[in-house]
Amino acid sequence: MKNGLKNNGLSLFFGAIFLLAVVGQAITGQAVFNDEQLAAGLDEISFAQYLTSSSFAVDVSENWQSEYLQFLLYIVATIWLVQKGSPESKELGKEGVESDEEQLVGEHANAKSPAWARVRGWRLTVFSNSLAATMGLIFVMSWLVQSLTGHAAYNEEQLRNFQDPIPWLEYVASPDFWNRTLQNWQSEFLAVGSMVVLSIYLRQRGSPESKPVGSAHDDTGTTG
Amino acid sequence: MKARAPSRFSVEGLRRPLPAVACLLVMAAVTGCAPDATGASSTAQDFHEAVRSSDWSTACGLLQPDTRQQVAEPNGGTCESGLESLQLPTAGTLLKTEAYGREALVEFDGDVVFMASSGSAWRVTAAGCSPRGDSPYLCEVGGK
Repeated sequence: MKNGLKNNGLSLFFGAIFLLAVVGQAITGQAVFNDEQLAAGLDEISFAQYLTSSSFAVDVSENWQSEYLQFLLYIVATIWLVQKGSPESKELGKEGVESDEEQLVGEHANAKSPAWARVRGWRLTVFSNSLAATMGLIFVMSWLVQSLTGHAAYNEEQLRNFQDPIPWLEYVASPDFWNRTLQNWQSEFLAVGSMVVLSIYLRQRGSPESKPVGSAHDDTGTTG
Repeated sequence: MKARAPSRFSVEGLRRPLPAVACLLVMAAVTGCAPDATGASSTAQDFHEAVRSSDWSTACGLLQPDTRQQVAEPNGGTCESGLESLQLPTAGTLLKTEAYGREALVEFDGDVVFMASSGSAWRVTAAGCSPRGDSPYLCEVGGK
């Protein structure tokens, strides 16, 4: 039990703070929503009603899609792009999908390699791309949910202001949809770019996201 | 609305994607369900029926409280006398109802009525409304 907690500390920690943050978002989101309801002379809603509202769903999903897009781009871009001196990059000269020997697949697999890494054919292709594919699937689904719930929330606001609702296709071309999307994307891209560059020159002792403190600034792909 | 910057790029916390996919499906199913549009159109029809038969008390009872107050205030009287003094258009055939979240629009031949969810019922927030392009509708009862 104790070992289980220790060995999964990172997952458990992020799972716990995710739950705390989403509960906090729901509580404060309900307060904001009810302020708008009162200002329009309408009824306040309960916490349960807010949890199932399109307003809450769009606020959650617009952040999810950008996070998963960030990881998707990072996973895929780092196959071919490198950054000299960054521990987030692989070593210079290793650009590309690398050899079967380096990737431990097929006849180069070892005794502990997953079953689909040891076989050739479609299973190896699927397993070789499963991480990016899964992140991509969650990104696309989150973005789709954002568009559906954002459409409902936007039209609810339109009706509250005595204006016509718009169709979904018009919504996905609207400033509201793209403003929600791009304001999240820009922050993710900035954060990733900053980490790539700052980790060349700065260190965090003990963190695998940093190079060892004594590593040279031009050491690439080493983690401490 | 605004996303925070990530502190880490590993996928340690994202190794199990199925819960995330399940959450998305549940979120889409729960929030994507259309609210009770039939209830909105039914209440709007009841409102117009009350107006047509000069049953001002029933008509006022179907207004959102804030709208009821707006109707009463201009002549310093009651909602009933306020409604009676207005020239609300006669509503013909029900053309369409669109409901999103806690709001709805009911379009009749000859009138547009805006509705809001109040408790377990729908109430009229504006009636006798005419479109003005992208601007809010101009309404005889309620509205902006």
